Amino acid sequence: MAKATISALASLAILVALPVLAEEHRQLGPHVHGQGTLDIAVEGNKIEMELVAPGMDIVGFEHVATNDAQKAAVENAKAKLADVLNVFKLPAAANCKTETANVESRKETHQPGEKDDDDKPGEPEHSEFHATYTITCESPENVTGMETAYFTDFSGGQLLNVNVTTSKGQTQAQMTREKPTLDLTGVM
Amino acid sequence: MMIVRLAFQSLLNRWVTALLTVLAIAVSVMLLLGVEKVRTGARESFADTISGTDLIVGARSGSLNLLLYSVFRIGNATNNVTWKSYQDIAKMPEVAWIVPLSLGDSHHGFRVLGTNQDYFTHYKFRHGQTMTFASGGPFKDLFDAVIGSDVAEQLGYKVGDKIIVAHGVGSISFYKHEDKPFRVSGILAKTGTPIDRTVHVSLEAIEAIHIDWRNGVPNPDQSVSADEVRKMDLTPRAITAAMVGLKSKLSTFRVQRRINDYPEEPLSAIMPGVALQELWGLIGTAETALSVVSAMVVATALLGMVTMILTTLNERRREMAILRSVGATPATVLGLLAAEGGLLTLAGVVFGTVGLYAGLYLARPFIDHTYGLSLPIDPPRAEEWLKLGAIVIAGFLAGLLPAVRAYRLSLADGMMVRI
Repeated sequence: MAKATISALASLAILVALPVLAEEHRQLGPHVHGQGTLDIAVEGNKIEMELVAPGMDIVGFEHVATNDAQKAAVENAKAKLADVLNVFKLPAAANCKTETANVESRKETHQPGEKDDDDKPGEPEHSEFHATYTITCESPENVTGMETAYFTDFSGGQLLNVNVTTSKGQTQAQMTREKPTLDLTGVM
Repeated sequence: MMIVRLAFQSLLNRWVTALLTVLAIAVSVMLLLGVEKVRTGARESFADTISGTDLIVGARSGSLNLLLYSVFRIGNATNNVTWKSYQDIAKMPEVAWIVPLSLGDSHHGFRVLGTNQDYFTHYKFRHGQTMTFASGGPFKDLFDAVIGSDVAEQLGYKVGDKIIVAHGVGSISFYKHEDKPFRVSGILAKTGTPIDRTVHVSLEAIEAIHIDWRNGVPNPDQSVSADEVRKMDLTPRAITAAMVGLKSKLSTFRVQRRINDYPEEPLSAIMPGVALQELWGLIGTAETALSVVSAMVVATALLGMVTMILTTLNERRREMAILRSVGATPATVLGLLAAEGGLLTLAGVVFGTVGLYAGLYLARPFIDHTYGLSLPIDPPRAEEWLKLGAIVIAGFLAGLLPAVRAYRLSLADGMMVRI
C-alpha cells in the first residue's frame, strides 16, 4: 500500500515537474535560400509591405559581418532596400510616395543540441533581412501591378512569394528572376 | 469557290461517312472546349465559396488542409483549438469579428456544423453575398438547427421537423444522439457552396449532445436528458476552427504572424485567398493533363478523317478521272481533296461549338444542382477562338495528305479505267 502511494506520488511529482521543463517555447519559421516573402496589404490609399529575405539572397553570407567589406555590403543592401519604390516599382499613375521604410538584419538563433558543421551550437546561424514599408498613393486604383528590381539588385534572390490582401480579396503570386513582375488587376 | 462546291457535292454523295467524320470531330471539339469550361467553372465555384474572411484559424497544419476542412468540409482536422485560445484571439484589438466552427458530427452523411449567430451575418460568398433564409430563421433554442438547401431538398425537410444528429461523419453511423433531437428552425436559400450541404446548430448544442458521452460513446450510467442539459454550463471546451474578420486589411499579416507564433498553443492562421491560389498551383498539373488528353482526342478525330478520305480514294478514281476528262488539272484535284478536309473539320468545329453551348444550356441546372458547379455560358475567349482556328487549319492540312496522293494518282492513271 505504502509502496503504491510512493510510486503514485513519484509519478505525480513527474507530472508536476514536466510542464516546468516544457515551458521553454521553441519554434522556428522556415528559411529557404533563394526564396523571400513579400506581404502586401492595401487599404484605402495606404499600402503596407513587408519583405523577409534570407541574408544569403541579399548579401551572400549569413554570419555576422566581420570585415569591412562585409559590413559595407550589409549597409549597402540596407540602403538599397530602404529605397522601396526603386526596389518595388509601382505604376507612375498611382502617384505613390514612401512614408516609412525600416530595414533590419535579424539573426535566427540556432537551437542548442542540433548538430551543425560550421557553427558551434547556440551561435547565430541564419540571418534574415526584414524590411517594413508604408506607402501612400494618391490614386491607389492605378496600382494594377508591380515591377521589381530585387533580382537585379540582389544576385542571390531567385524567388519572391508575394501574398496580397486588399478590400477586393486576397491572392498569392510569385515574382522570379525570369518574371520580375506582379499582376494585381484581380484584387485592386 | 467552284472547288469548294464540288467538294461539298462530293461529300453529299457520301453523306453517311462524312456525317460520322463530322460527328467525331464535333465530339472532340466539345470535349476540348468543355474541359476548359469545367476548369474555369470549378475555379470560380471554389473561389466564390468564401469571401470577406481575412483569416481562418485552426490547429497547426498545412494551409490547404485547414482551408479544405474548415470551408469545404473535405477531410478532417488534425487537432482542435481550445476555447481559451479562441477567446484570446477574439480579444485581439485588430479583430472585428470571429466566428467559431465546430465539426465532427453528421446527419445522413451531411456535416453538422456548430457555430453561432454571427455565422449567418459574417460568412460571405460570391463577392460578398450573405446567406438568406428560404424559410424560417436562425436558431433561437438550444436544439434548433438551420439546414442548407440541399439537405432540405434531399431529405424532404421543412421548418419544424425533428432531426437526429449522428456521431461521426460517415453516412452510416452506429451512435446517434437520439435522446436529443433537433428542430429545424430555418432553411437557407441555395448558395452553390458547401453551406447547402450542411446542418448548422449552435456551439452550445454540440456541447450539449456530447455532455453525457465518454470516450466517443454514450455513457449509460450518466444519461442527461434534454431538459436537464439546458441548466448545465455549455461553454465549449474546444472548437475545430474559426473565421476571423479584421478591422483593417493592413493588420492581416501582423495578426496572422501573431497567431502563428501564439506560444500557448500551436495554431495556424491562413489567408483563404492565398490558400486557394496554392490549391490552383497543385491542381494545375492535373488541369494540364486534361487539356493534353482533350487535344489528343482532337488529333485522333482528325486522323480518323484522313483515314476516311484515303480509303474512299480508291473508289473515287472514276470521279477523279471524269473531273480530269472535263478539263480539271491535277492541281484542281489536289485543291478538291484539301477543301474536303477543311470543310469536314469546319463543320465539325461548328457543330461541336454549337453542341457544347446547347449541352451547357441544357445540363447547367443539373450540374449546378448535383455538383454545385456553376458553369459559365460565355462566348469563347480569344484563346479558344485560336484553338478552334488551329483545328480548322490542321484539318485542311491533314486533308492535303490524301490530296497529294490523289494528285499523284490522277497524273498516273489519268483516264485509264481498270475494271
